[in-house]
Amino acid sequence: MVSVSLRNLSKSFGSGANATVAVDNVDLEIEDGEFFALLGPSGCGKTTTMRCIAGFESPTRGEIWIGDRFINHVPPHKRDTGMVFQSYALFPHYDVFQNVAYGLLMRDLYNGRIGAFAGLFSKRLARRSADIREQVHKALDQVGLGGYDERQVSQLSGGQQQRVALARALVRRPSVLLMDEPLSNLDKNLRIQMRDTIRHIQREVGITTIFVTHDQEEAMGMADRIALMRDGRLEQVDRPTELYDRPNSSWAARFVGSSNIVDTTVERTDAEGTEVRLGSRRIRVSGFEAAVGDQVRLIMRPEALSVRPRSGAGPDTGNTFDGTVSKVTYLGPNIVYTVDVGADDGATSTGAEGSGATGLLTGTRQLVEVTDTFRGADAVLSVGTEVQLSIDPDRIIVAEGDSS
Amino acid sequence: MSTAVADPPEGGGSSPGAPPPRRKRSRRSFHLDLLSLCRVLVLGFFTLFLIIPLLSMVVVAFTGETVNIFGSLVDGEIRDQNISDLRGASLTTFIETVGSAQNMEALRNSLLLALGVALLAMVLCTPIAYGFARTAMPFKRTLGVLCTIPMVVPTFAAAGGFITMFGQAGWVTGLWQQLGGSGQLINPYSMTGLVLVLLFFLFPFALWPMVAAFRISSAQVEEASSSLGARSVVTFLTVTFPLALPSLLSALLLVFATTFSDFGAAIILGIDGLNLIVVQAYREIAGFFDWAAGSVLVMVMVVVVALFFSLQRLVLRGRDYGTLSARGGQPAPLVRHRGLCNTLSLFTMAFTLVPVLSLLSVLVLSFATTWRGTFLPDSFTTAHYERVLDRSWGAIANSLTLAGGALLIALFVAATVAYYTVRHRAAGLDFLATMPLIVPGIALALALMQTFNTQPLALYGTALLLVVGYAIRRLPYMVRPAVGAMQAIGTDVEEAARSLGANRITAVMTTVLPLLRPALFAGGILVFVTVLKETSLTVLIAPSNWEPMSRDIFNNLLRGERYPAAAMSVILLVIVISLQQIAYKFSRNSLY
Ligand SMILES: Nc1ncnc2c1ncn2[C@@H]1O[C@H](COP(=O)(O)OP(=O)(O)OP(=O)(O)O)[C@@H](O)[C@H]1O
Ligand SMILES: [Mg+2]
Repeated sequence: MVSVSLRNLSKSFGSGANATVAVDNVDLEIEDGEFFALLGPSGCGKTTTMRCIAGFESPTRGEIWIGDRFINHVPPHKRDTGMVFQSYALFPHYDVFQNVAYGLLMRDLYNGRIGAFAGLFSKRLARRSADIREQVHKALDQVGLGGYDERQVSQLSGGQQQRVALARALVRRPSVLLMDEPLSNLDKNLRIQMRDTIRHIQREVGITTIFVTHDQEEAMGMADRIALMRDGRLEQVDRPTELYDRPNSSWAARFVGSSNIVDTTVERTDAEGTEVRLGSRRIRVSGFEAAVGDQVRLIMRPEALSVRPRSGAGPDTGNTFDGTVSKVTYLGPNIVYTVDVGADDGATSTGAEGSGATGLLTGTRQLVEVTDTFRGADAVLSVGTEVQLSIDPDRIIVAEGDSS
Repeated sequence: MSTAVADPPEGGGSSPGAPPPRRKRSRRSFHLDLLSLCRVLVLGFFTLFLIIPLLSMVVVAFTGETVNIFGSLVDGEIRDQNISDLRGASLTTFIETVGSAQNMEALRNSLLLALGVALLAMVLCTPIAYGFARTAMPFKRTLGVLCTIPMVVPTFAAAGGFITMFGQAGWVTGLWQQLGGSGQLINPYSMTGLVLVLLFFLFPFALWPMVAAFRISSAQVEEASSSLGARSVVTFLTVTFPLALPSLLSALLLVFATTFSDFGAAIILGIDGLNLIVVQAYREIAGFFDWAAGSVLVMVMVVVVALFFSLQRLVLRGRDYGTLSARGGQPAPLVRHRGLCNTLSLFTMAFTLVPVLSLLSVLVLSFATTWRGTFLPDSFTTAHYERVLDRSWGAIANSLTLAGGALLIALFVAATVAYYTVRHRAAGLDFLATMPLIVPGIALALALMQTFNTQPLALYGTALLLVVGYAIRRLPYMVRPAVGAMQAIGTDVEEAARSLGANRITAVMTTVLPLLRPALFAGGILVFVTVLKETSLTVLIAPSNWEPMSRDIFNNLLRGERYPAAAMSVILLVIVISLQQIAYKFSRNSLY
């Protein structure tokens, strides 16, 4: 098994004024055996990056290495990658067995066994080699499709087709497995089930895997590491927990989960940290150095905030600020309170243009979302309740990567 | 710092931070890519057998002397001769030929004939096409077969059948006179006769594209229209018809081009005082061996057809609604109005009566001892078949071999053209493969004849040149469906094969070709069948030791030997119709 590295990889389509830069200077090291996700919104260049690795696009600039092989000029069939396509791209004129055996027959052919060629055109001859039979059946068993080898691919359900595609890619034991949104054509339940199947098989085989998706939940749930892409560039490369907990930018925070984004000013700094203004109070932010008067952008996950009614509030635990409940959204196990923390000099909030962004400024109101667990109907706060919000200074994220 | 360059560990995983050790960059190795070779071969094929012959035809038309382009490449003397001929190029021959009153009249007649047949075909086929595409008219299947068969009948054989019916000694004429008519009901040896022969045997070329057009012009749009309160006649006139118009125009053009350059019927009917440009050109070439005048005439023909094609493109620009409505949606429910269905069915039957009867006449004639002026022959015999099979068995074998050869070439070229046109946007190849549509058979024949009649490439008089000519001429029949099918094959299947270890040519052969097969098969049958009935190339360039069936029939008809001609026509038709039925069985979406 091997690592994959991309060095300053760029790919543009077209030329001159109407050139599209699909991949812009991407630098990545994907480790041996890693399950690596390329995540990002539509059109950000995930597929193009993957197709460069597979050899279907040649990079405009930069280098691609698989292990110690420099492969920029290696044709796709010699790259030793296995690819699972979004459309599965099963061969409609072959049955399941032939689909899976295709790569093995190719290998035999390449090794000089001319007889393998006949197997590409005949159902019967494809099954002649005991070795191939055994490997195909093993691969089909692995994806839970034992006994389906006689089926025509058109007679399979979407999930089954997906698994045939997986078996077909894995049966050659490639050094890298590439998957381009393999689950996006499946319904929700099947998608979640297939996540486990894929992850399970990947661990078992131990193959380096690059997985393209635009679904952050899928990436978070499956990957060892995630590269978050935006407009062809890497926004952040991190483990899922880090990406969620420490997004570099408000864009990343919004793309991965929902968040409150608050622009504010530094009011005090001392040995223990920094204090910024929020509403009528000052709150403490840790792990961050700045000078008084600096503009900063804070990211607060809704579940990092806790809320309680101000009336029955116990002693001030510090790092609190006040607000009024302006909306209650009940989501089953959770409740989301939208809290107005009041207008303030200096404090403004960015809009909600990105997915999951919830910090809102409407007129003079500063709205913050807070997630609370449902603890019985009596405990639900009603609209208009005066509340106190608190947050652990460690869980306030400063968006250092924001250029704007 | 160590100076030793250590070999990297096998399959060494690299620790993060330390980049994987780099080996010497593998240089892009040159290897012969078979797929690119196919493309080069196809380009060479078109250059050699289409571009250069057409070019030298133009040169001949202006210099009045034959050129030997291949000769100039290898022999200095020939080159000098050709260059001095070129210096002497003038418009003299051109003006003389085009300017002659006889030729002008021929051009006018040909245009009138082609336009007349095309317009008649379109008007008469519109209700029939509507019936096939949109109604549940009775006997649809049978009528469908009857409306396809004329397409595969060579026009000279059709003319033969017409004479058997309407000629001076025809049975219809006999019947007509018995009923008290005087003279002939229709004189086949007249403009009217020619128009009718061509109309009744070329109409399927208009009909089936129209059926396809009516079928796709969108159930949804029509439903939208009727839900807006339009009545069905209004819907037809305001929605269905305009949407189908582009395809109707193409159909019209196809009939126009075919009629304009068809010479089988005209020569067999040999109408006194009716000059046609094809016949003139044929006379110049085959009668007077006047290459220059012949070249000028066929060039005029090419220009006329090309003009009409560009006119069509101009009219249709930005009006191709095909794709807009073709995708998605169910086909419209069939109209089941009893009166309408019965009327359409009756009309179609009446229309197909003429071709059906003339083919039956040929059948009866082939078994007749003598048949003159009576309703039925005097008595029946199989003697003609015995003679034909005895004497011309070779012609049948020749026809099948030649058509098979043309089919192989066309398969290879069409598959390559389709692949490169769709995958690599090779518009040039597509254009080359479509070009034969505007080159009448007689023009191609003349161009090939005079390009390849001298050393170093003296292919004239060999079967190879004939096979190549056939393949080029019928290529568009295969390329269009192949390109269409290719467009439906996603790149992902091919890429999947690549990522599974297949090189380019293997990936194409194992994934693209099998998916193209239905289209190639359907196109292939059409190529094979039309080659069997091909007239102009056969008559002009078939070598005498490779006499195919079509020329055997043609010569017999010219000599007035009606009975053996009829017997051979029946054999030809049986072969062609069986092939065609096989094709429909296999092609998934048949025409009707
Ligand atoms: N063959 C091509 N020619 C021109 N532009 C292209 C081509 N392929 C991709 N692009 C452009 O490159 C950009 C990145 O495309 P890419 O397919 O990599 O996006 P993606 O991240 O995979 O998006 P999605 O999630 O929608 O699949 C897009 O702007 C796209 O329009
Ligand atoms: Mg994509």
